[in-house]
Amino acid sequence: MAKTRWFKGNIHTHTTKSDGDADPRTVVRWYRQHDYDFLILSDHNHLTIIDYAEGQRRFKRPLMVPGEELSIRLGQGTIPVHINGIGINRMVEPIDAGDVVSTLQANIDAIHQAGGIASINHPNYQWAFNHEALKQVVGANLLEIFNGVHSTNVEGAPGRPSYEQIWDGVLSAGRAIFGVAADDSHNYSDFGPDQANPGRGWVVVRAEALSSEAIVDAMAAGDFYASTGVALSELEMGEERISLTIKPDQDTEFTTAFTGRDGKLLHEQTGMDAKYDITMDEGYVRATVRDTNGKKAWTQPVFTTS
Amino acid sequence: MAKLKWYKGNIHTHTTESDGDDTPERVVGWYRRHNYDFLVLSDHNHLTLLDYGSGRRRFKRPLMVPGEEVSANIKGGSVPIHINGIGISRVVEPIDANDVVATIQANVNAIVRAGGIASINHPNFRWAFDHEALMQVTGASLLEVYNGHPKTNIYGGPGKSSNDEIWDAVLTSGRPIFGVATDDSHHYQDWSPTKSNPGRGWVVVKAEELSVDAIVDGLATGSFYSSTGIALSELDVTTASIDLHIENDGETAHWTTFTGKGGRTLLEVVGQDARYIIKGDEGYVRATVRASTGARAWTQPVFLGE
Repeated sequence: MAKTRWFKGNIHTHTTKSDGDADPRTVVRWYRQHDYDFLILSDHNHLTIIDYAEGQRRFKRPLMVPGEELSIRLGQGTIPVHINGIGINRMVEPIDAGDVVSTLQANIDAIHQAGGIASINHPNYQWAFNHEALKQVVGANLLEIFNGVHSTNVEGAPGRPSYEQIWDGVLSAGRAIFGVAADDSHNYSDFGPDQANPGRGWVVVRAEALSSEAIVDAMAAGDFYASTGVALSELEMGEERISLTIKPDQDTEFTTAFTGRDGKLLHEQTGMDAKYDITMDEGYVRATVRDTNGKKAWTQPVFTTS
Repeated sequence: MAKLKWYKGNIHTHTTESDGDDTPERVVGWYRRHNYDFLVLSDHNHLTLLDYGSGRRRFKRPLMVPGEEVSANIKGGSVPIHINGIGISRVVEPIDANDVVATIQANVNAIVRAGGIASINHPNFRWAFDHEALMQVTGASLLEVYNGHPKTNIYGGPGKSSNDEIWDAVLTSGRPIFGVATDDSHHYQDWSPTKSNPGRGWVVVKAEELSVDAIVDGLATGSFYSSTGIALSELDVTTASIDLHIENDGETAHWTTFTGKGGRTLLEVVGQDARYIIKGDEGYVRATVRASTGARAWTQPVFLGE
């Protein structure tokens, strides 16, 4: 087997080709300067691609993976249903199928028909939908469990599930879906917590090569982790055990929680190493690492088969 | 009585006069463009003041309040004891009194002698000290409950108190101290969650006018709230009740937790309005507002006699 490596990327990014405030080259430069290996420009209903050979210089990174944010508004514009198509081979026209579940399903299917994988964006944005809708959908590959735009309500509230609770709700219904952290960056001129700035959430993908096909395949297979600042140096996901090692970061301390069906806490461990032996009755097992600076990393779930 | 108004300010800011990466003029420019009413430049062991009269233009805002981060790195440099002197009339030389409690006390006293109020900065930075030390100190006015620098460990973890928990423990020991949110901004060139950028935490002071005396007096008496993104349109704190109203954009969900002695949750209220009727045996009562965006606001405690 070929040796695999880790590649960092952001899969949800806007430019002036939709409602971002910087042109594609300026946006790509920000990610290049911040050491991203790959990037998906995901303009609303537009396939934005940068071909480095057209520019004055040839850049190797970030690798540009084709993408588009299929964007529909239902209910007289009050319910945004936004789904990223990743690795698509053509632009996909968004479909308004009347209700939330049908619209999610129709756009996921359209993305697959265009050769891509589907990532469900910011469910809590304008409180559009949650796990009750997502449980009725098949074929969605990814779900945002972190979005860098503050108005997407990542944390939920009493009576309103957080993104992590929505993820656990979908997983507990038996739907395999992988969790991604994404910037949803729009603003590259002014920086502040109320701006949609880059650099807040990303994925780290394990692949044999930095190619679109290898990156998209690895994401579709769940061979990645999501992060807002915690880096892993080792991650082993087996049917019998999950084990991981966290990269040290000055005097930051880390806690790893392993959770199962319905978000149940199975095991919690502090320190740089964490492991959990799967007993097979958990339904699924996933790990969340939290640090003392509020940053996180999320591994993908292992599904048990008892 | 003169009408009171709300003034937004940041009280922990670095420039090229210590380890910040931009000049005082440019740092002040950032805060001016972002509508801050006042600003404390708090360079390490240096009193940085900007006199608008000496520049090409005269600006009214932000009002410059004199400040310094009195920085003693004790025990061979491994334990940072950093205390902001706010409203000081002269530079304050840091004092190394060997142990943590004696050093905090000596620098608090030196700040007070220079006509300022003392704000205890980032207790968890390099895990320097916590409430066990602060409970033995008298005369400190303020404590950072939030610090925007990405490595100050404000969230704590298993076996490590968060800044919120440290604050509650100091209050529970009977020491009145008010909680501030600050930027601790150092970086104005590169913008990323890994940098100490401005705009992350601030205080909103209720005062009769925008003057150094009125702002410092408002901070010293707890006539303010702290925020990382939530604005209060009303805040009425008496020994009989706490009432507050949260400004809203129509979509963000908010909830308020009232906390008493020992960090005990007294009441949780979902929505834009929150009221707590004080019984009298809570020791102290303070409110924390949370939003589905992840932002927070903290009101100051009202202290109750036994």
